[in-house]
Amino acid sequence: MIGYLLELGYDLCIAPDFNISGNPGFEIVLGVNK
Amino acid sequence: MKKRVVQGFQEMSNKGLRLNLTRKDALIDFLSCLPETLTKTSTRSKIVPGFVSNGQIGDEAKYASKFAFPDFDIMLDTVRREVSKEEYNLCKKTFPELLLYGLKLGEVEEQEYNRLGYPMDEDPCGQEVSKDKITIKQECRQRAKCLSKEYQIEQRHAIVGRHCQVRIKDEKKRDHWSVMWAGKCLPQLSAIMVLFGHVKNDITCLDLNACLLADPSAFKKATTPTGKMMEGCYLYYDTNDGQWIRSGKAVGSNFDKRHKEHSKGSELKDSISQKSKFYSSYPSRSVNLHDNRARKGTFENLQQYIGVGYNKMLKKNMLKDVKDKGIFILIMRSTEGLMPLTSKERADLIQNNAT
Repeated sequence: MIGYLLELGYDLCIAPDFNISGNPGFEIVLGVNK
Repeated sequence: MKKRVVQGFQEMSNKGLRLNLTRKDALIDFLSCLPETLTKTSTRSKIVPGFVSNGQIGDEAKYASKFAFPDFDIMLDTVRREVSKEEYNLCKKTFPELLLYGLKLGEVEEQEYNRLGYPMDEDPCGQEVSKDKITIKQECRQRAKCLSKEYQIEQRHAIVGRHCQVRIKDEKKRDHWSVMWAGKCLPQLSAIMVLFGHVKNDITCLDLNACLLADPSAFKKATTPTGKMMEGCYLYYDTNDGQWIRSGKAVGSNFDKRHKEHSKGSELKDSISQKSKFYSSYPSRSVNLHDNRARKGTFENLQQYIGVGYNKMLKKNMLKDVKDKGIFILIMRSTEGLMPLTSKERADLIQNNAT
């Protein structure tokens, strides 16, 4: 969970136009496999 | 002055600053004359005329007033086309209402201009451009706003909500307890990022589409012998385009292993990697693509940096609940690590977040 949180926090700081991640974060917890 | 600047650069050079000679000389010349330039130009008498000439502040001499108010007529004169009498009267009549709206929200919404009968903007070809559908995602296309206004600050806080709307396709999962928990812990993580110097110095002047992360020099490379063995959050920086492009996590693994997995994926040898936006955007140089439209760069140009890295053996410090002087809000059932929450714990968390 901490790993997901850290990833999400930094993901939110990246400019949306250049961020190539489409992951929502917490994929396994959300039951979303990207 | 120049002598002191040269000495300063020499001291920084001794501490590890490396600049090429041309850049160093240019900086020395610029910094040596900067104080004098600022002294001569940054005076009130030099700055005020610019604001007076576009009407943002009134001419003190003209109004014989210590506090010169904006000049309505001069501001309208800045319009590059002829302003009709109807438009002039409309501006004059509706100004008090627009001012109150701006004072309340920090900007006047497009619907308000439409309601009051203002004509729509036109593109260079004379075609009307509707701004009705422009959301906070296209902030650069919106009208002027005051970013420090409370309402605007709240809008910026909605960034997590925006992330959920874009990335979580299933609407029912957007208020999932894990997302709420993340929202609760993001302030602490933000503090860590600021403490590490990972965030740009002044984010108040950045819009929602800007990168908030500092220059790569503020980060440690994940490719050093020490960094390689850590786990946590890593980042990828496109050294060619000069942009941060992705964050990722290595848990139960380490940064080096994840980098090697990504390197292999960038070769696009299997269907899973071919479907990945990351690998198709940054395929390996060795990949010969028939269609290069999806390519944004080359994997070999990506540098892996550490966001938050920790030693697996010492991570217990991160797993203390905030009530036990830890960093994050955690619900744990044992000291070994996070466990799945019970339905009651989830309900409690949601309830706590709602209050």
